[in-house]
Amino acid sequence: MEITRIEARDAALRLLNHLTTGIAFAAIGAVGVLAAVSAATIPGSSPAASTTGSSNTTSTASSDTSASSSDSTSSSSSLQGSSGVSAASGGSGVAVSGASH
Amino acid sequence: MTNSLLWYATRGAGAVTEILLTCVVVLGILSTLRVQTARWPRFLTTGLHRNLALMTLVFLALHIVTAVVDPFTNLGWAAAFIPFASSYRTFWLGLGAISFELLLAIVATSLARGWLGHRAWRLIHWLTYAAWPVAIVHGVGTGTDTWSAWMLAITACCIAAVGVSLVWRLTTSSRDPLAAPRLDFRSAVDRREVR
Repeated sequence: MEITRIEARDAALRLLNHLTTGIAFAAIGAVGVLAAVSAATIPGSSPAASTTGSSNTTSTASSDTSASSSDSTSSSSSLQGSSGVSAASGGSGVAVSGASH
Repeated sequence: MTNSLLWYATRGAGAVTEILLTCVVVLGILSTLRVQTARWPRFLTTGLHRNLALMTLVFLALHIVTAVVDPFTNLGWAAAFIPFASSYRTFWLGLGAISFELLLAIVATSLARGWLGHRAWRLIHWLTYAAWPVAIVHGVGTGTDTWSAWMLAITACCIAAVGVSLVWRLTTSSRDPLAAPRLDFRSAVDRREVR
């Protein structure tokens, strides 16, 4: 009888350890998964955009005629980049908003 | 590490902290109901409650640190510890700071329970019922993902879990087999002290 109770207690303690460890790893994984999901749903701004702010958006319109093809590729690869003008704009200038944290 | 990565980590850690805190509150309510089975003794509920509470603080620390070091918001450490000290979303971040400090007080007094005494510990532990809703309101108010479907689902599940547990707690009488004798004993002691 006494041994059974001790065994039950040991089994419960093992279960507690397993549950705690499992939840800890699941929580670490969940941070990564939810961070990825949040990045996919609301990507926000690139570091460059967030540091330069909206002041760049005004300058792109005036310098659009001199924008080379390399500028257009660099702007398309960045996440809501505020520099450069896309090729699809046809030289009319596209103002891209800055940070949107 | 880029600013965006820090921001994503802040949001991920915030959501996980909300889930863990909800689990802690639900387990705390279940422990007062003395829920147990043959394979799930009561100390398992309280043990898991304690372990998850400590784990919640770790993920809350991750949430706070990544938010503070993110240069976009420029929060500063004071905003994390002094309520309403932040110039960025003052009210909502202030609620977060209040919830953080309440949780800190609850965990610290739980670790020092033997020294503090049961009555004082219990009084402070009641603050959990304030810390959890304040944390939820903080998340809803300032969370970037508040209105995303996945975050709405998480928040709804958390509120439902605590709501069901509370209703169960309020509608179920104590399962303590010694509750009545303990009350009688306490009354007898009180009568003797009066005499």
